[in-house]
Amino acid sequence: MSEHLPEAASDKVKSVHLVNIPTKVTGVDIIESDAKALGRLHQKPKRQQHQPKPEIKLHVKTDKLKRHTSIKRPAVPEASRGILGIAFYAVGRFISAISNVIK
Amino acid sequence: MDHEIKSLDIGTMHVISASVSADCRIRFKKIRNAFLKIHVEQSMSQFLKQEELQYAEIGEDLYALGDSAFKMAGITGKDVSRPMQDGVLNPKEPRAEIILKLLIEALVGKAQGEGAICYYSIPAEPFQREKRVIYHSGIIHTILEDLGYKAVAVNEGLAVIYSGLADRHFTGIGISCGCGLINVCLSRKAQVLDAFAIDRAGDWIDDNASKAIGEPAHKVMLVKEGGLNLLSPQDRTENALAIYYKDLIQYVVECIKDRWHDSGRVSHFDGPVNIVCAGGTALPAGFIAILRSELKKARFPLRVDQVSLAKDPLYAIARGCLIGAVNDGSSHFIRQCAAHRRTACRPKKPSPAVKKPRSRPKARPRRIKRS
Repeated sequence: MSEHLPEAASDKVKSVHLVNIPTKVTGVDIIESDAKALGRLHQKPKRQQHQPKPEIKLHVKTDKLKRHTSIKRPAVPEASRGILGIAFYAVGRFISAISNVIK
Repeated sequence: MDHEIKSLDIGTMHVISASVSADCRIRFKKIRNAFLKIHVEQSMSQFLKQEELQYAEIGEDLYALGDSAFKMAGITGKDVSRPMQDGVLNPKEPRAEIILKLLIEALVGKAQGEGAICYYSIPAEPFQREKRVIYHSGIIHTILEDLGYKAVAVNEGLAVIYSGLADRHFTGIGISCGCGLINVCLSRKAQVLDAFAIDRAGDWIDDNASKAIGEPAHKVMLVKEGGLNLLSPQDRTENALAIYYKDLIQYVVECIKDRWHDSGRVSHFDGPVNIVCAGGTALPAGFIAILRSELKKARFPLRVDQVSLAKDPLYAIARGCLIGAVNDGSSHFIRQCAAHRRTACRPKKPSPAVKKPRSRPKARPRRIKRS
């Protein structure tokens, strides 16, 4: 947008005499309260601050902790024992692992 | 005041400004949006100065401005010219932009420092009209930026809502009844759901009433502005005005009903809404009563609770724009007003009491012991 109105040479303003413009004066209180009310509507709602998770202190002895943290593998069922059973079991585990990866 | 805060209602008949002064008071200034080209003579400019009339010399021509244009029109028998027509800049007047610039500059003046804000009113696009509002808004924006203000446009109907529906969380319908256009705005919590303009307004009433009874339009306008009561017209001119007013109000209600019938815009409202009207065309007594009765007759798409006239209807749009401007620069304005109020209300310290010197007790007469 242009900063100034384009003015032709014939439109040059030589003098202006604009006096005695009727003026009305009022207090500011009502405008102040209405502007505050408008401001409240335009304010964005405050985001709820996420509270930090409380620290959980584990009062567990280290040897027990080690035992609990070790991963226990499920035992091989009795029916699967034997070389053929173990082989079938291994193949089944392999297929389920691949299907998990594909998922 | 750290930052100037001003507003402008740029209407077809009047240009009104509102500003916050350093003593935290609102000053409204009003000037007629009219001019009259005068025959240039040496004595004419002296006459205009002596009579303290408002005028401007542009190029080789002399123009009477504002209220003085109407005075000179009465003396010379000519018709005044208007920089605006139908709510926007008049395309038939080549000097419309310059005249409007002079009027705006006389009302708001140049910005005194940085950060000055001026909110100005613009109409919505009327039905089935070419898009002149864009040009009109662009010219006003350029004029205000040239004077050093950050210029922001506000829809006229929304300005009426800012002014009259603060107690209803700026929710409802605002109708600005001007001379060139009637602007309607539907708002919910200061968010505009719909805004449009109707191209019949005060000038339409004057033109048709004058044609119907054979009186000049400016005389009919004077009767309209001179305390007309639409429910009890006193003479032929007032009767003609009352008939055209009723027709206009009926037309406005039908336009609103057609626009919002089966519209998703009104589905936001569960309860009844308030309607507030403003502008010079809504001033005659009986306007609100006729509007209420027309709303009852028509199957209005919204439930209406109260229909009222804004406080100071002629200044309501400038006041509404000022509320928007104050909200924009609110932190400075509110701090300044609070500080001004504290100094004005501070109780005066009582003057220190003048301490009277302690009076010495009179000496008791000594008793002389006689031996």
